Amino acid sequence: MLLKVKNLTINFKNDDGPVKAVKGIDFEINENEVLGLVGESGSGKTVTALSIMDLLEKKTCCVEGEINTSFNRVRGKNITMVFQEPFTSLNPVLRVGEQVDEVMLTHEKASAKEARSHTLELFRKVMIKEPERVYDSYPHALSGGQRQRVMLAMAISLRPKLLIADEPTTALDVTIQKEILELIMRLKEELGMAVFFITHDFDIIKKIADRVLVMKNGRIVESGLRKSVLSDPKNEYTKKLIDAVPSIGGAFPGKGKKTGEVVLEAKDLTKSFYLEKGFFRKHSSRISAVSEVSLKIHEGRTLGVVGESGCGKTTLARLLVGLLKADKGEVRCPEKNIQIVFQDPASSLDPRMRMGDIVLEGLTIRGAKRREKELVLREILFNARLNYKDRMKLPHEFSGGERQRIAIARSLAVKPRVLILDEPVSSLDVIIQKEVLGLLKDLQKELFLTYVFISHDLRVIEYMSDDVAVIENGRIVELASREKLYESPQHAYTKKLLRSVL
Amino acid sequence: MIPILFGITLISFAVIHMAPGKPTDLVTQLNPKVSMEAREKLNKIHGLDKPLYVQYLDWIKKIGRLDFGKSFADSRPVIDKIAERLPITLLINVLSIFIIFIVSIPVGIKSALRKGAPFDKISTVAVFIGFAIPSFWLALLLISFFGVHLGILPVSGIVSLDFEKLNLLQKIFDLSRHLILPVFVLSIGGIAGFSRYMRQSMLSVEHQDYIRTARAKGLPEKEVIYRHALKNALLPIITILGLSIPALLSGSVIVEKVFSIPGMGLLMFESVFMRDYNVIMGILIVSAFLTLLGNLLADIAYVYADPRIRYEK
Repeated sequence: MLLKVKNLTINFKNDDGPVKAVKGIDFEINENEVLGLVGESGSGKTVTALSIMDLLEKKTCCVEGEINTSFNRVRGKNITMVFQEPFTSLNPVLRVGEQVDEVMLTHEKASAKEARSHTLELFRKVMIKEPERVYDSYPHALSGGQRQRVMLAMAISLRPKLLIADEPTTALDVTIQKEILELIMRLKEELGMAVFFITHDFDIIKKIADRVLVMKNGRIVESGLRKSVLSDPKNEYTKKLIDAVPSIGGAFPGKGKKTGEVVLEAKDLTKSFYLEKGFFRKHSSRISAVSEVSLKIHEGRTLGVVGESGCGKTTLARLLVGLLKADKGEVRCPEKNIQIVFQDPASSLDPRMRMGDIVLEGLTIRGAKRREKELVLREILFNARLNYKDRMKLPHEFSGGERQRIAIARSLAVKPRVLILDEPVSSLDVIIQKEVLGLLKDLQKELFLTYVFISHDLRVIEYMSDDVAVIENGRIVELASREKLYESPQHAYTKKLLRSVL
Repeated sequence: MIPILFGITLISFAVIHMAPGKPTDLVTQLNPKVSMEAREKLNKIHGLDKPLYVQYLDWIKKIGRLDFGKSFADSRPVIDKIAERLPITLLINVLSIFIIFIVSIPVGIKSALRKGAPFDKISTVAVFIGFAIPSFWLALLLISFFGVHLGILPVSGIVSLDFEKLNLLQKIFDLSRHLILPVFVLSIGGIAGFSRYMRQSMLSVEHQDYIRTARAKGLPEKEVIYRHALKNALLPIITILGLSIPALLSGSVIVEKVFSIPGMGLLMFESVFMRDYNVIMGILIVSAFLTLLGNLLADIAYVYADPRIRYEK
């Protein structure tokens, strides 16, 4: 036994009284094992981890219960943590190398020279290419994957007994996600440390965990060996979580041949962005976001668009709806009735507008009568599985899933024929993700909609699409029917993407 | 920078000339013996009878040759008049920027770290008062207390009458004694503002992920604050400091008037009353230039402090 948590309770002091984040949990972590902690956001996973690290602010939280370790718990030395957000976890104004040096300098009282050579050694261990160059870089010059490697280097600096990894791969692209997971597992073997791995994704658990804890609303609802939990989950919630994980190779009913008319067509779409437009300089560098993309979408079908972050998916979505003007090429949409749903419902809805007004705004600006709007609102909210009674509420009073349904309802109000869905479920928990995807499928059938579904997640793409376009560096590298693409991918990049699915 | 400077001169020129009164009024209108003809003759000599845009073009042509013209009041070259006053104003302003920095940054940090503690509450009230006090009133109050009531500090001027006879050490001491009150009055508003900015900036940095990372590394709290948090918290302060230079310069007009300090601010004040166009415009150009220079310096400092801006591929 390495660490034992007994009756851990964490309360946050709030203006309206205390909020119970963790309600008396017990668990152990054994030496050299990987313990997975699964749960949806808000279930208390991160708070539990932070309390083990003793990183919760004393002013705002109250931690009760016992946390015992078989070793002397020194934060940053023998118990370390890697966080979810690689883009904000490193200090932007300090060199990356210095930030890793600090661990040695603080705990071992090493000299600057020793610390530097130790850091370079660590960089090699976490497979950072060109360690010297990275050492002198600032965080913004590194990619997400590189930053997460730097965070890992920091964490394993002094051979910790326990590494806590809080969703370390959630913010990364699939291909990099796989590399980082493999790296963590290799380091675990090499250094003989235990890993406490927090995630919402059962696919990751399947791959790496020895034992699993499932957490819901601050309580542990199920725990056990990975195999038994996965094959024979006892708790309803665990079952739901496992079921909700989209998987590749499911038999989804296809829609058969393309029969309907073409409702959206793009020809040779090209768009570049210019950096550093100054008073004297016109532009110093050009970034080509989308180049020569041609698409044809038939009525009632779903085209999946998949690619890694920065590949030009979102730019393409904006070009298709007309939010951006293409440098070259054209978009043809005979009915001119096209709408878009964005990734983050929390920031794409106006926080000061009431739900009903948000949904109807498209009609309001077209000068619809009040009675007509009322009728449409009832119908649309019914379709989007939203409650008509909630129409006077503000966006923050809804949950993430409800907010995304509001965004969908808003796009439906003007009766579009084509809907562009730009990562509509990426910021949602798996269970809610499944609900929203189900809703989208139902709506497509009921209203005979045509979708362009953009995502980085091949599993979701497979679930939703009839045809799939794979985008790399702004170009479509492969475009095929779903069955064909998943069974016999042609392009090397498609193969790489498929391989990185866990 | 050049286009902005150009715009500033155009607008100020127009505004000043449109205001009622002319530089020649002092000798003409206020003097009943002067005839109409004499007055027009005088206007003609100074070119004041031409249309406004012609006057502006004439003036800008001269500025192009760095010729600021002559003062209407005493016919001395404007450039000389400014040159003898500018160092004093700069001295006062640089000193108060310095004081603002060394006082407000520690105060801001401390109240941010102990948010809600007595120190934070007291400093909040002090800042409130500092903001609200009119500087001329505070200046008069200080003069009457330290200068008249206690009699320990001089009430006006920048040096004593016997300055020339003193040795170097005594000169510095004399100058400092004269500077204490004006610099204090000029700094007080800045200290109030900047300690607030600093507090706010520090509070927002404190909850950043990289601060949590620094703590997770096991760094002592001192290093977390002074190495990781402070560097980031200072970034917005640099920009605000650059932008606050005009406020300081305009503040020094009031302070120099109240303390009778022969700086550029006082010269401006007097020139405005005498409608001494050339001097006013000269001072405006110098102030505008200093302001733009301050912004440029702030931008350069920002580039130096924030690697994200420095970075180029």
